[in-house]
Amino acid sequence: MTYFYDHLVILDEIISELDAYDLPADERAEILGLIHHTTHQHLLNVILNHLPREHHEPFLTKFQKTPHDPELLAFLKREIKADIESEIKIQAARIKKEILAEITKSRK
Amino acid sequence: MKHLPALDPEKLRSKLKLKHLTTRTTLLAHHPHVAKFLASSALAGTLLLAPGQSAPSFAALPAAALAQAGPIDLRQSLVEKLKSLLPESVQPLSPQQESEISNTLHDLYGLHATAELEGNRLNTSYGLIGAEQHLMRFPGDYVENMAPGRGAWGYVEDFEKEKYYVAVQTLYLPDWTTRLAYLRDWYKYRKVVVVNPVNGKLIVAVVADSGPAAWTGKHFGGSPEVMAYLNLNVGKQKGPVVLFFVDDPADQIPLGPLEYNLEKPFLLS
Repeated sequence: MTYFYDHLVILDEIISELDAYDLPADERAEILGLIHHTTHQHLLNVILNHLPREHHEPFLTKFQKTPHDPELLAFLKREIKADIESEIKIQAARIKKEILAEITKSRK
Repeated sequence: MKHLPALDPEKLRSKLKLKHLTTRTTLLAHHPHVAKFLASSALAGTLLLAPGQSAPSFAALPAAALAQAGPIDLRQSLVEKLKSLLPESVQPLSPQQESEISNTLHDLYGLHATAELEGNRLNTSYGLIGAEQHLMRFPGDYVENMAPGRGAWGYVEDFEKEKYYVAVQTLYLPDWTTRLAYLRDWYKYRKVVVVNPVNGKLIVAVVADSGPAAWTGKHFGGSPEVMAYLNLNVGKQKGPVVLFFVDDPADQIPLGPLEYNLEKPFLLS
C-alpha cells in the first residue's frame, strides 16, 4: 500500500537500523508492520488536526479509494492554512526519532 | 553488518505495540468519526489494523476496547475514591490528600501525576474551572469563540495543544515575579491532568494561558474541548476539578481524554 505522502516520510534509517540486528524474517516483518501502522496513524491524526472538520469526510472518502493519489496532497494544501507538507515531514521525523529510540532501548 | 549489542525483539515488539496503541487511541479520541467512517472502509485494514489482528475483531474498536478497559468502572471507582478524599468545597488540599489522590490516579490510570512537580506547585490543586475561548494559533487565525488576543505564551502553534489546554493562575504564584524567567518557561505547555470529581472524567492537557482573574472566583480555565469532555460546558460553565501536573518527561502520554490504564494496555498480547 502506498500513500500520497510517502515521499515525505523517509523510514529507511529505521529499516537499516533494524537490519543491523539480523532478525528472523517473520519478526522483522511484524516489527516493520507495527512501525508503518504507527507512523500512518500518527500522520492521519496530524492531518485531521489541521484540516477543517467540514473537509474530513471528502478527504477520507478519497483517501479510502485512492490512498496514493497526489491530488490528496494538493487538496490538503488548498484547504489547510499551515504548511501541511512541512508539518508531515516534521511529524514523520519526530516519530522516526521516537521509534529509533525504542530500538536502542530494546538492546539486550 | 554493524556490531551492536543483540536486540530483544520481544521487548521491541511490546514497546512498538504500546506505541501503536497510543497513536490509535489518540487518533480515535481526537477524531472519533474516523472509526465510524473506517468501519466499512478498506482503510480499516491498512491504516488502523495492527499486524496479526483480524478485521472482525478490530471492526468493534474502539468501543469494544474501551469496554474491555472498563472506562465506566474506572470513572465510578475514581468518583467514589475522590468523594472520600476531597473536602466538600474547593480549597487547597493537604499533602496527605494530594498524595492519596496521586496514588489513586496511578492505581486506576497508570498516570504519574502530582500536585507538586520539580518543586513547583500552584496555589491550589482543587479549584473551580471555567470555560475559556480558543487561543490563536497563528497570525490571522480565526475560529468561532476565539479569544481576542494571544495566549500568555503567544500563538499556540501546535493545534493539539490549543485543543487541549488549560489556563492556570501563574500570575498569583508567590514567586512569579522573582523567578519569572524560570517559571515562565517551566509552565509553558506544562502537561497536566484535569479531573472532574463529579463524573470521574479526566483529560490530559497543557498549560497554554494564564488566568482566570481572582475576582471571577475561579482558579483554572479550560479550552472548549476540555470543558466539553468534562461535561462542564453547560449551565454556568464551571465546576470543581482536581488539577495535577503529569510527570511525563519523555512526552509519551497523548493529550486528550484518558479512558484506560496507561500501564495496563488492554490490547497487548
